[in-house]
Amino acid sequence: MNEVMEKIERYQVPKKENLWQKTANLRTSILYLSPAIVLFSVFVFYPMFKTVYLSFFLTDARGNAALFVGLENYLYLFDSTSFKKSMKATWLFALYTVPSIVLISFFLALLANEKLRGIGFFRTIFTSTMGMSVAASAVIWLFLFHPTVGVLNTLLGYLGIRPIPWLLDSKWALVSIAITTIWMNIGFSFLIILGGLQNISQDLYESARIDGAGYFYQLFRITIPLLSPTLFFILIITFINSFQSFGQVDILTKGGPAEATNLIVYAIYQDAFINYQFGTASARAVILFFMVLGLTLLQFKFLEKKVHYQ
Amino acid sequence: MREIVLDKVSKTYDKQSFAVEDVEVSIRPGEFFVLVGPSGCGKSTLLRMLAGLEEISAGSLSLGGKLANHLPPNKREISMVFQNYALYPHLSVEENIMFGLKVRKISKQERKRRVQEAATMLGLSDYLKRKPRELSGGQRQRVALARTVVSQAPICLMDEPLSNLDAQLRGQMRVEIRQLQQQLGMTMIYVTHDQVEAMTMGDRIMVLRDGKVQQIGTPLEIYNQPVNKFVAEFIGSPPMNMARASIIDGRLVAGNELSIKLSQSDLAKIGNRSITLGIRPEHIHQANGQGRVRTTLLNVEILGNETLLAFNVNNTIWKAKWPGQWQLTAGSPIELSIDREQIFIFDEISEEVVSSPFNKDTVLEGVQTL
Amino acid sequence: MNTGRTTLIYALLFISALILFFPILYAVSVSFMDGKDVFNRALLPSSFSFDNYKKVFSSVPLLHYLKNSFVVSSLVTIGQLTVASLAAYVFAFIPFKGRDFLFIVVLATLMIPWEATMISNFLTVQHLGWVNSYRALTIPFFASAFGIFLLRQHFKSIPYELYEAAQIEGLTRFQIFYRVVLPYSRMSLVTLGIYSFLTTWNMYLWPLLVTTNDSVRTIQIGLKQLQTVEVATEWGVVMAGVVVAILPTLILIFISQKQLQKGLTQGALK
Ligand SMILES: Nc1ncnc2c1ncn2[C@@H]1O[C@H](COP(=O)(O)OP(=O)(O)OP(=O)(O)O)[C@@H](O)[C@H]1O
Ligand SMILES: [Mg+2]
Repeated sequence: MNEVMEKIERYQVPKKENLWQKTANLRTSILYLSPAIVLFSVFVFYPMFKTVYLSFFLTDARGNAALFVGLENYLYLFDSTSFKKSMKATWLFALYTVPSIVLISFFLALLANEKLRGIGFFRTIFTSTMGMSVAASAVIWLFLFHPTVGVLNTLLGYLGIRPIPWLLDSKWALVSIAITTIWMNIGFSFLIILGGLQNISQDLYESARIDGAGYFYQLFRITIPLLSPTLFFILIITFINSFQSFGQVDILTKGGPAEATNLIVYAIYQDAFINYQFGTASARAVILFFMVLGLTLLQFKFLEKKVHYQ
Repeated sequence: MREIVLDKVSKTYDKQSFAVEDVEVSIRPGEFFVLVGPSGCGKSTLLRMLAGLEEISAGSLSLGGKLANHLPPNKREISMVFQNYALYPHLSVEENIMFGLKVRKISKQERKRRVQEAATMLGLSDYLKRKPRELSGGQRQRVALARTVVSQAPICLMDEPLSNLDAQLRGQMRVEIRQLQQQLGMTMIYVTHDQVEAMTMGDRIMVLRDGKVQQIGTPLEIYNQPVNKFVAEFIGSPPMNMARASIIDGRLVAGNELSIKLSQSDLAKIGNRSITLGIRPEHIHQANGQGRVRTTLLNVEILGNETLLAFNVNNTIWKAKWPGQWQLTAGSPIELSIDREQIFIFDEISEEVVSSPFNKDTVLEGVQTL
Repeated sequence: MNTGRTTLIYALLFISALILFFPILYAVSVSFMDGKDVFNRALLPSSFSFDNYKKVFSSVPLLHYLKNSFVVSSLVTIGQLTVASLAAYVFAFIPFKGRDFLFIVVLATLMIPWEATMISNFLTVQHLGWVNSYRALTIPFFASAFGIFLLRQHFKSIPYELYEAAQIEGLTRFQIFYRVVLPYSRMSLVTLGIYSFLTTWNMYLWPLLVTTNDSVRTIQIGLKQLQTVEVATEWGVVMAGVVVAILPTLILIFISQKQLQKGLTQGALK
């Protein structure tokens, strides 16, 4: 024990508290936190464990674990062509959507960050798809893609492009869903990236301009480096979102044609709620969990690095 | 009215070092008591322990004779003014002033009456409906003061309340706070790092350094009889001039510039310690034969009513303060003299005072000159 | 700034806005078309009538769905604000042993996608007998890690002096919470409120699972119904339904774009 503590022990005026008073902070905290704790326990942690548990079982139609099968469900999945197709579609879908969303939103945010008259109007328009529900968006695009009454092919026709079999062809179907998803997600990404842009101190640009730096020099030397945490954040969020896509598949293609758009959440849904295969559905859900977990950890890693740089 | 007594009060945050150590003082009711010291010396920590916002690690605090170490803040009958005023931005000035009263369930009429009174006292009557962000710094400061006034707490704690104001406003608020304190007769404990505030406002001052009390006394005691080099340098503006010195042939010598004859008693006190010489700027005059300084003028600042001369003594820059306006040119050689009676001598190692104008043994001195 | 550049930016802004907003504008346009216009792939209706809107309200209980969506979204918003602000208050102001650990546990829920737990959640809700009730649509969403995180960040930006001043005035913990912390953070509460409302309003998969009849079915599921049942060929009517469903959230976005941008980016990026 050092001198400081010796002295303190000698002259300390002890607090006469009983256990009840001593735990005052803890008790209030627990009280205030209890709604969150209970809800998280019941609707996040418990079901997560339950899902893992179920993924080792065959279940009856009401979701009760019936027969322990160990890793059987997983092995079955890894073996099935349907699962492989679903995984391929899921990753391909992410590849189609994520970079496009980030790039388009970044581009729009750069435009909307200019100080011009009426810029508020454009910002609002660019944010607007954030208010679009997946159901409404999908229904609108279903109509736009429609082979006979869809106006999309008509418009493309003006540009000399031949009609595209949007939802009918197994390659194009995934693209169609991707387009719908990109459109829906632009609003939110735009909003966050614009916020990030506006957090960059204006002084930096002014001093760069005094040094005679051009637009692209400023873009690559100031904007992008300083915005990189925001861009990375949005990249990960969009990635995770793409894994969670469901509504657009349900309304536009129902996983078809030929399972070409059977994204992972839709596959879970079908397994569990159409075919009542809760065991394999749970196994798929666990796989989804690990995919999202991986991305989140990646994000934390990046944040850590960023802290070191500063 | 209650006396505040601190006995061996200490605080440690990290269990390795003291932020405040062994503070012993009793503060009388109605006293304006100033805590002063450089940044990080533990002033805020001490004040916050008094307020009950920070736990006291060791030692005892009693209020009105009762042990108060573990009393919650609101039971201590104190009010507090913070550096950034701690006004609630979502409430109007009036609601801000009344805030504490409402919580204490004081009747509406009484609340109104007290707010009116405080607002008049502080010249806030026209601003009662405004939000804090629509006020100037000085007005916000007054709102914070008004909160203290309406609370009618017998003890008021202030932590650098004027540090966000400009110099002129600070001067004005110093007077106002002092007046307010006397008018209400409350005990004030006032934290500042500004020695001018400490000197002009306090009944008594406590000088802190690295968590330890250096000296407690009235402003004049502290100024005239600092107990060590730190206090001597900290209080006074410009600060006391200091230079390492040595004794050569019964004379006090600092560098090539300064040489003063010392009395036998001073020589005896010094013995063979290493010493530092200290002299306040106002005690360095035009050459008149006494203790000589021969040096070159480095700089001249004419302030209107007085003139500050800067020059070198033993590789440190000294300042002399002369009343009036003096047209002197920097770079020219100059001869100055020093009031021998006003010399401080500090032990170089312990920094304690060895000899000062007030601990000179004047009787013996007198005998000698006879 | 030179005018050439300004013109270019305006041009890009206009084109982008037109492309991005086209699907919505077109949906509105189609909602006024008759069958012939739709069949001819017209861009604008040849005559202007509200027939499709009349039809959609009579063919499905759209108002009822709208009401359900309102009730569910409002309840979730209130629930999230309550639960999150209480939790965030503790995480920002009340220290106790194990607090940091609990906070990490809360953040960890961000790693668990809702879709990964929905099977068990569905079984739970079914077991509790909540299917086809507001309880199933609301209670599971009352706790939001994002909300707790966002509010905690904002609460932390409250000057600690205010908290201490309130302690000296003698406010209890709860008084400090609702008389100082909540009013101080009004704006972030509004942000979170809008965000919760939007996301709940637009929820699709969960309501699909737990509503098997019209009693508490939300507008989103109503849209799916509308699109799959007999009206499928009458696109004008379907689009009228779409417009009705998106109007509330679009208006909300139009009013609050600035607020959302500030509030969300501060929380998400600090
Ligand atoms: N909450 C805390 N945790 C750990 N150390 C602290 C804390 N508060 C203060 N300290 C340390 O205690 C010492 C005294 O700090 P204090 O704030 O009392 O200084 P001060 O005299 O008020 O300084 P200033 O004039 O800058 O306000 C400092 O070394 C500081 O680093
Ligand atoms: Mg301080």
